[in-house]
Amino acid sequence: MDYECLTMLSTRNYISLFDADYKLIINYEGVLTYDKMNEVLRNIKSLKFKNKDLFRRVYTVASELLDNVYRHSKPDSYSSSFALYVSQENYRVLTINPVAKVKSNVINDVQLINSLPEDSLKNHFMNKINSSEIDERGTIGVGFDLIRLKSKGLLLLSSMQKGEDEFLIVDVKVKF
Amino acid sequence: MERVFKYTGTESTLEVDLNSDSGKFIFKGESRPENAVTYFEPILKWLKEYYELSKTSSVNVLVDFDLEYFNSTSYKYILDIFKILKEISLIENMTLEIIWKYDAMDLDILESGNDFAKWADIDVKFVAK
Repeated sequence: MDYECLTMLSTRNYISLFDADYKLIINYEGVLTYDKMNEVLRNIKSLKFKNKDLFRRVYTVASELLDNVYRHSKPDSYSSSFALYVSQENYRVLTINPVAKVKSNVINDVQLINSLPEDSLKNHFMNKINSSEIDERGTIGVGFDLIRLKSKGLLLLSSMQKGEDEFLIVDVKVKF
Repeated sequence: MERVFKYTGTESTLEVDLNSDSGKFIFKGESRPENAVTYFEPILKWLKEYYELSKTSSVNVLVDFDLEYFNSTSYKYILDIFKILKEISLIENMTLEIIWKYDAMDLDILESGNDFAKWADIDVKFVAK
């Protein structure tokens, strides 16, 4: 990945476009391995949270987003970014990763997830858990449902094109 | 089938101890395995074999869940485990009790336990740690 692209796609630059009130707590940029994922999650466990519920929600969102990057990034490709920020009102978890293509069914699924009230979303999630099969990547495609349930906020999904490469940006606020 | 099934827990996988002689089943820790299929399928296979065995020689079963965290894929597999436990509980003369431990400050785990009980249609005893 060239320097210009790395700069454009860093989580720090992304968040600076939207809000200057966030303090960076954890940042990782590189090819995400399973060991690195464990290290990032260990770092989150070492942080002090206001209460266990808030820790659990941030941890769940971070774990699911890291898993998404780990399993769905374009193989042998560019670095990914993960960042955890905090403000006076919420935590914010960001990931940016290269993908072969942002599929329309993922966008549609996130739109549906964002539109559902909590009770309906819970039923939607459990129905998928109950009826879906594990795919070839070892997942069942309910990570975004769980992220929305635990964050109690919207999932912001966007993408960026750089030449022939496409990058998926997922931005989630976890309210206090 | 093997009389005992064991996994040593790691920072990302559960400690699992299933003992057909004592009827004590333990699931403990955090679950977000790198490969959920190869991790969970042997557990499901053992439980299905135990179900078949229990039709002829049943003992009382106590299932102890003491979970810290599980990811969305593990959610699916834990529900599958609950469904097999439900089948085992329906065997004639079988007594099966599920204990679901949770941190009183962490209601998320309690809520998940309620989900599994509801979707597998099985009674669960909730115990605050």
